[in-house]
Amino acid sequence: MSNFKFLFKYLNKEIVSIILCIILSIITILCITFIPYFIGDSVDIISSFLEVNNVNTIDWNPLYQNILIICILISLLVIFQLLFDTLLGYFVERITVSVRVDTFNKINKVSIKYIDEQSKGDLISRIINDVDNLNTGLVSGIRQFFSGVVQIIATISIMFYLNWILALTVIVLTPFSFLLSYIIAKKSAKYYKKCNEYIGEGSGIFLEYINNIETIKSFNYGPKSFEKYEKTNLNLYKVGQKAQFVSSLVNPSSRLINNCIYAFVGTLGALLCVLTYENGGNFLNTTMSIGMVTTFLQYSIQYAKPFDGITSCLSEIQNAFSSLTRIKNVFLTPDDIDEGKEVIEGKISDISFENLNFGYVQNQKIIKNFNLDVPYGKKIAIVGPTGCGKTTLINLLLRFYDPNSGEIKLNGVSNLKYSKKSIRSHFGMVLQDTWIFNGTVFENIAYGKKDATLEEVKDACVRANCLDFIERLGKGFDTKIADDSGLSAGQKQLICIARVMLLMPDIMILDEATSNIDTRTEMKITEAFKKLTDGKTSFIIAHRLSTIVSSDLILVLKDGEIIEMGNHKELIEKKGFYYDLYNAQFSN
Amino acid sequence: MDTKTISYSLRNYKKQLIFGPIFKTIEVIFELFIPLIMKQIIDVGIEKGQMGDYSYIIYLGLTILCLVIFGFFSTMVCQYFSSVCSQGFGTDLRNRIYRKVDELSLKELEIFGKGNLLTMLTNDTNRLQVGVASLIRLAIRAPLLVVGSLIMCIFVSIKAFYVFLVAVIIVSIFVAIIFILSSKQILKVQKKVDKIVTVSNDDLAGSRVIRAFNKEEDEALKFKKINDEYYKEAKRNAFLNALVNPLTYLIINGAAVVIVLLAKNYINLPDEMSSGDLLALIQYLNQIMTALLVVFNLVIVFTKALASRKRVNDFLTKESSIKSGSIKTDKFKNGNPLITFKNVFFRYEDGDNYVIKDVSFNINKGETVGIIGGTGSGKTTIIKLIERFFDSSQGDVLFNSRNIKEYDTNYLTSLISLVSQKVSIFNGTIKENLMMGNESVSEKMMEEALKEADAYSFVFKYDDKLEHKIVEGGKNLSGGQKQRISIARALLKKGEVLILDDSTSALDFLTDKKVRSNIKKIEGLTTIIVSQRATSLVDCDKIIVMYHGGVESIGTHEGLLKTSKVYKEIYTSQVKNYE
Repeated sequence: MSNFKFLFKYLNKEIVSIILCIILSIITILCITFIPYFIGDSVDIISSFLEVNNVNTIDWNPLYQNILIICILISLLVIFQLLFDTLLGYFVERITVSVRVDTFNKINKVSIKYIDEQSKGDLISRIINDVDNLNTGLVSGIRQFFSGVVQIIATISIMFYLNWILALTVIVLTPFSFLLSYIIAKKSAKYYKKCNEYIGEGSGIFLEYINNIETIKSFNYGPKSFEKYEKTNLNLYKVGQKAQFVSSLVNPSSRLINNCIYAFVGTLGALLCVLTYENGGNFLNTTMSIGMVTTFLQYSIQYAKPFDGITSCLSEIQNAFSSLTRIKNVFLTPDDIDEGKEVIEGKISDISFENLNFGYVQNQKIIKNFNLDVPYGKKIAIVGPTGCGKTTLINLLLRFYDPNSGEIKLNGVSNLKYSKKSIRSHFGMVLQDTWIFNGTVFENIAYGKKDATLEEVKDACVRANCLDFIERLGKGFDTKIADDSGLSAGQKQLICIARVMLLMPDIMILDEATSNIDTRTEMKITEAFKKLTDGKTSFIIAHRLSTIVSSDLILVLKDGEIIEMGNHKELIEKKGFYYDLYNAQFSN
Repeated sequence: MDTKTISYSLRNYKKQLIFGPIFKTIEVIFELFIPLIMKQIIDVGIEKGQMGDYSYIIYLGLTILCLVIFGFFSTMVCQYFSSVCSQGFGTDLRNRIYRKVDELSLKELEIFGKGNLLTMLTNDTNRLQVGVASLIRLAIRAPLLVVGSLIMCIFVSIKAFYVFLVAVIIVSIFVAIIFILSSKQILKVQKKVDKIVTVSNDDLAGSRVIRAFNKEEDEALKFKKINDEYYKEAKRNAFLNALVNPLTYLIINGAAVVIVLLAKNYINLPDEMSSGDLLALIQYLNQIMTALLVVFNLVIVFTKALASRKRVNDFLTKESSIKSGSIKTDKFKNGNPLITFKNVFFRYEDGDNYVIKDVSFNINKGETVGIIGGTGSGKTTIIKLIERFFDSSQGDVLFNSRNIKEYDTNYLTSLISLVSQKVSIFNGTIKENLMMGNESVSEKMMEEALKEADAYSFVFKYDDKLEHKIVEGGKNLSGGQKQRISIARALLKKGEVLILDDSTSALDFLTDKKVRSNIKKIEGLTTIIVSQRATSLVDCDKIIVMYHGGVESIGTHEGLLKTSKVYKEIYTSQVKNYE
């Protein structure tokens, strides 16, 4: 899909506004074009009066008529231009909003895999900055394009109608300013690109410096680090100075050309006046008067305007275009397909993994030939060194990813047959990375249950051991919270548990939910977990082995394979890998 | 000139600051004369031409051309000066900010915020740079063009001058009003954009949870709602922006009509106003309006630059609260007290509560001391006070029985080898990283230190060994590898005190133990180990137990198990066997 095709979809929705804008801009430009004509005409009328000796014989009517026409044209111009600009602003904002909303929704539809692979900051920047650039580019682009084209056509026609010699002069000379600006812009774009590279490099050095400032200071490494920065900064100076100099020539150059045109038109116009006079009112089939010179001088300015305008917004349009590509690329990612149609009836009572194989990247298997049968109500713990595939199992269970081969069966049926929605509604999960969104405590806890009452929420909090601290917050359940609003990691985790507690799903997943939490809070959380998983199938992934010793079944994973399996007692007696792992933690 | 404020960065560019605007003025003056010459062509040239003398018109036309070309070259000189001056100014400013970061203590840096510092280094300096460039290039040109054109009008017609003056004033007032309104409106729009960012951020951070809860559609609705709010504000802003062009047009053309009407009154007095006058006036009118728009844009550029100037000035003039002492050399004896805390309190300037309260302890030279406690119990604050990243709010920190403030800060840091909680590995080779604290170490010493930190085997598995390149943030190393290299680096510094601030958390228990026992063998080294794992501290000579900012108890592992409730709780929760 090309950028234009993508954009066209949105423009198409605004077709009425666009056509209206075109009509409005034509009217506006016609007004703009005719005003100098009537001003010039008035100058001529006044000039002719100057030759009349007796004021009383003057017929003022043509002059008044002209002024009336000018006034009407100005009024029309003002009204229509205001309408044009407003309408344009409105519909571009509407496009902005729909592109933004569509991008956001698309991101919620693509596979988790895509989101995992992208940097979060980059995706946000597409939703915010790139859409913003598109907005800016559309406003200036459409404005310049609409009024520019009409203006050029209108001005050329009327100039030829008035005097072809002067018209030709203006038309031939003006593009020089455009050409010159274009050359300069191209050159300065090259320098600016280099500039941005050095700015990026410098920011990188500075970030490394500031993020490690404690180490830097304790090693007295500041001066050394500065040397590194100074070098990059010097390079930035060299290209930055050139970039500034070259780009600052755009305005003076177009001024140079425009002023030259002014001089040419004025001089040539005056000469034509003389020649017309000498040839009895006709020179090479044209006439020329002082009023017409006035008109032409204004036309030469008007004619140059679209060219200058396009140069000045060229970088905005270029920017918008590259942003458009970045936005469009999000849409090129296929939606997360869900071929499963069936809905799980009742509870999930049995889960089995059969010959499961999976890898995020080809040829790098994380899960190898995994087999396991989990009957209802069992507590399964998964342990193992980092990167052994613990979290991957969760990703597969919830169908964030699908296996390369083998299958996961729910109640004896492959989970690919069920819709993702249906599967996920049976699982509750608490992850190591707590998720608190900007909203009240109530909203955060009631997240999974639309019509939850305060009573229900409170009840969930009691069970999650978090009612006391919530009630101690400024406004209790109405307190606004966010990820960085000062809640401790443990408090955030408790809120996440309450959120799941409210739903009481069939199966619980706890993924490293107590790492980074101090011992006292951990005890509270462990207690809350116990209530959460009571009588339910649960999967617990834990770093600290003390939290899992009571599980029904402990799976010891290494390199994607189950190397040991059994309850704590059995595994300790076995004196294998689990035994070593367990004892390394406590031995002195 | 105050050497602390930003204007000091202009010290080397006085020439450009003075001559730039002068060359610009030359162009403006030339430009101001062009309409007058054009008037001459129309009024006198045509008359002469009709009498057969074309040369006058051509002569005047060439004069304009010359003025234009000379003006262009003059302006080019100005643009060159401006680019050298503003870019040089920005470069110097960036260097100064970079060095200032090193000069200030962590206390001040935390007040400014790390994120803000990067914004300052890139955005603020850039705005200031643009401000300086505009000062040279436009601050003279645009107002001069407005005023100059008005003055030239006096020569043409005093009445026209009044009309234009009124027009300029009306346009200025009108644009000023729109600017004020729209800058307020832009703030409102920005607030909505901030909200959009917040929701997007939340959504992306919680993509797994949202899907697990099947809430995609609700998220979509939430986002749509905020965007609708945005649209409402953005629409108002679009309307305000749409007002500028047509209304400016109305006033300019209104002025033109008035001029034509004025001309009508002078029909009988050809000296008062001629056709050439009309033409010149219309040209001046055009010049005035174009320049006025530039002036308004300048106002925006300068407002932004002023805000940046305040921020950067605040930063550059900030004094470090840590004053260096004078002691640059000292003797240390085994067994003597090395670090002593006497009833130390600390709180952040903007904080209400003390982070540590009434902390007293003593660490002797050669001891290995552990500090343990939950998150937020004040462990890391103690380390920061020992490093003198901060000064205590109350009470004294003694180093070698002297107040720590008496030491030269550089000397003090040279005595302390810190391995911070957050691993700091830098872009460069392993060797460069190891040499950070001590440039004179030999490869042999590096090998030794790597062995002690249990990093030798993996480093020497690389083909290029010590020359192996580490990418930014150490992304090509695992957490444990990074920690081991930072420990080796600290060991090479050969300080009096080695501080391990939770720096073995990514190591498995066996490696952790191995590294600790290697370090313990180093003769005369005082070691402070901060950890959340009680098992890492069992061998310490002394363990300080922190609880809610205070010292709960101090003792050996065995002693604490009997006396300290907190320690016992931590230890048992980590070691407890549920069997």
